Formats: sequence, C-alpha cells, structure tokens
Amino acid sequence: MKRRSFLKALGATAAGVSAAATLGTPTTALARGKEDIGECKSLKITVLTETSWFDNAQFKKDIVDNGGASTSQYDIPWDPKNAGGYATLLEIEQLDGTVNKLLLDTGWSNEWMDYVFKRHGVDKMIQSGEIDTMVMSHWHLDHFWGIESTLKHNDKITIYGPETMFPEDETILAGGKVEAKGVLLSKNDYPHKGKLIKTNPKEFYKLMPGVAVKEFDVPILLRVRGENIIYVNVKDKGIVTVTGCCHPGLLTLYSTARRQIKGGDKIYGCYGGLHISLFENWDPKFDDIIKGAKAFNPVKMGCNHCTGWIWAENAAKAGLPIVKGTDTFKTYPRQSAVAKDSNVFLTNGDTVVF
Amino acid sequence: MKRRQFFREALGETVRSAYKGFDSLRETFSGVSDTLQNAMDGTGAASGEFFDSYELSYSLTLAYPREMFEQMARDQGMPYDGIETIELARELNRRGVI
Repeated sequence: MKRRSFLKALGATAAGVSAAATLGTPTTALARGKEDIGECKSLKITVLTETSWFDNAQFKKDIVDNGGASTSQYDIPWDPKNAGGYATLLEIEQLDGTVNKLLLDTGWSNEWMDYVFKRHGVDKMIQSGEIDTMVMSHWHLDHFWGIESTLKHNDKITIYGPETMFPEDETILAGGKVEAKGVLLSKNDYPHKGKLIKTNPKEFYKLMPGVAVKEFDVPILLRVRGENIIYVNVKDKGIVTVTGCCHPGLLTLYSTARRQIKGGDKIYGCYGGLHISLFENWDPKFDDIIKGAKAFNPVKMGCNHCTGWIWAENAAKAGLPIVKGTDTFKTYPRQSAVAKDSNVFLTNGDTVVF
Repeated sequence: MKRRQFFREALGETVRSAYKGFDSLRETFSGVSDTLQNAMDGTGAASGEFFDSYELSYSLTLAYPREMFEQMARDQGMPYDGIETIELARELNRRGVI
C-alpha cells in the first residue's frame, strides 16, 4: 500500500469511528466478540530508568564492529561501561480503590538496576510481595540482562515473557552467566523458581481488571523476536499502551486495540519506547508516523528510550500530545548523551498518570 | 372493480411494497454495518503484513541507519544499491537473517 492511501485509510477510520461513537448502539453491538479486559480507575507510571545505554555512538559501534545488526546480541562484547537499563513501575488503581503494582522489564547492568530499584523502593516492593509479577517486554539485553537485580529480592516472582526465548535467555534465567569474547555479558546468581508464562500472539493474558498482555510476533534485530505489550483500559478515558520498545509499531498496537479489545475504539495514549528514531536519524517518512498517530486522536503520549528525541520534538511541534518530562533525571548518577533541554522525553524519575 | 377485489389487490400491493421497503432497508443497514465494522476494525493497512509498508514496519526498517541494512545485505551477497530499505529488510527476513 502506498503512503497516500495508507494515510487516507487512517483518516477514514478516524471519521468512521467518530460516526460509530455518535450512533451509540452499533458501537456496543459491534463490540461483541471483542476481548473484554475490564476497566481500571487510573494508571500511574514511574520511569525507573529509560536510559538503556548512555552513549548512542558506542552502542552503534559495538553492533557495527561485531558483524552488524543481524549478529546475536550474545556474540557482541558490549562495552560494559555503557550499560544502563530499561524498567518501569506501573501502579494500577482498581475501581474499588485497590492499587496493584507491576514491573515492566529489569534493565541491563546490575549495578545500575540495583541503584534504580533502591532509589524507588522497588527492591522492598519485590521483597514484600507488593510486586509479585513482572512483564518482560522482550529478551533484548537492555530489558532483560539485569534480571539478577529483580530475582535477588524474590526468586519466585511470576514472569510473563514472549515464547520466543533463545537458549542463552533460558541460561541466564536459570541462574547462569553468558560471556562473549572474554567479556561478561550477564550473570544471575539467583535461579528463577517462580512461574514463567510464555506468551504467544493468539492470547490476551489478563493480569487484573483493566490490564492485559498481548504478544506480537515481529522480527527484531540482534537475533530477538517478539514483544509483549501491556494494554490498560482506563474507565471513561480509554486504552493506554505501555511498551518496552514498541517493536510492533504504535499504529499496529492502536489498530489492534480497535479490532480486538472491547472499548478499544477509544485510544487514550501511550507510554514507553516507540522505536522510531533509535539513533536520532531523521527520515521524511517519520512525518507519516506522526500523521498516523494523530488519526487515532490520542490524549496523552509519554515517550522515551528508543523513540528518538528528534521524533518526539517534531511530534510535539506537529500537535501530538507529548507529555513533557522534568529535570529529575539530572539527579541520577548518569545521563544519556542525547538528553535535551526540550524535555520531550519522560525520563528517569518522571511520573505520568493516565 | 368490485370493492372486495380492490381491497384484495390494494392490500397485496401494500404488502409487496412494504416487503421491498424492508429489503432495501435491510440492505442499507447492512451497508452501514459493514462500514462501521471496517471503521472499528482499524485500517486495512494497519492490519496488513509487517513488511507491507513503512508505516507497519518503521520500527525495523526506519529505526536503524540504512548502512546497517547495507552491511547485512553485503554479508549475504545481496545487491542493495538503489533498492528500498523495506525491500532489503523483507528479503533479509525471508532468508532468516533478521
């Protein structure tokens, strides 16, 4: 499909959904057969860490110097000084006022993740069982290799991870270590003893009212495949997607919500990495992603990590409701080399409520 | 025309046209329903295959510098000059490289 027809189709969809919403009854009728994930009252996100690495150029060099983007992440001797991590705390308020906590991802460097978890009290939340479930978005190094920092506080934590695991992923989870060319990549002294739910694209995994995980089987570089997305349905607001990297693409997530989730015709927003301009490169086609996102009429968009500051800045200028961050990230011991004063990222230590 | 015949024919005609009316009404609403269903389903494009468009595959095809795809193509002995990145990515995926 050509660019023009794609955008035209998005426009038609937006108009059609408005019409459906106005008519009322057909929306309800047509919603039959869709997945009912329930509703929650609100969702609070705390950005524990979105700085997976601190120097883009070094990360890119490690890839290019070691065979390129098709090389397995386990065959690259990554510069350990560049390792940070990605992890998010979700606090879901139920309609009765109960608050449930959920962890998304566990970062890369154990040293960095230990600092981050302690700073936000996540270590104690895991120890006490206040957090008893972690969703692994995908098996990339910056989301998974810091698993020891979670398991050391509770090795029985329930984990939802994409079924597309490789043997090295299993080794680390089982309490092993992995090296490449003499460089220690990841170690875990606390074998996972809890439930591991391997997610597949056919199911919606309902974690609690208003929260479901869905896996998308998409190709990802560095020999990783598949990503889990968290869909949250906030009462009277709509659907919020919470992502690690959003490898399936935001427009796909939104249109999947419309097709498959009851109430999914109302998109409220998103949080997380959107995987658009990873290395801060710009392509004119990125404007189409902005136009595409606008067609869904989101109300609140919190982005960071692999989104690209350049895309977030242009999206905000074009009128997308990008939530601005604060300078809290400057109180962390390290900062990303690409962080800017425009604050278009929700970055380390920021919060947002949907 | 006798009174009884008139009523019989008139009533028959009324019933027939009401029937036709219902048919066209049903067709109309069926059309509306299809349109709404398509709208609710999201776009045709957004429900296509990953490599059908940049809009569906940008997280892979546009997120990384072009040179990375050229490096992968070169390693595979694939031509890449003048070939769209999405075409390279599709072929690399077909070959199981990504």
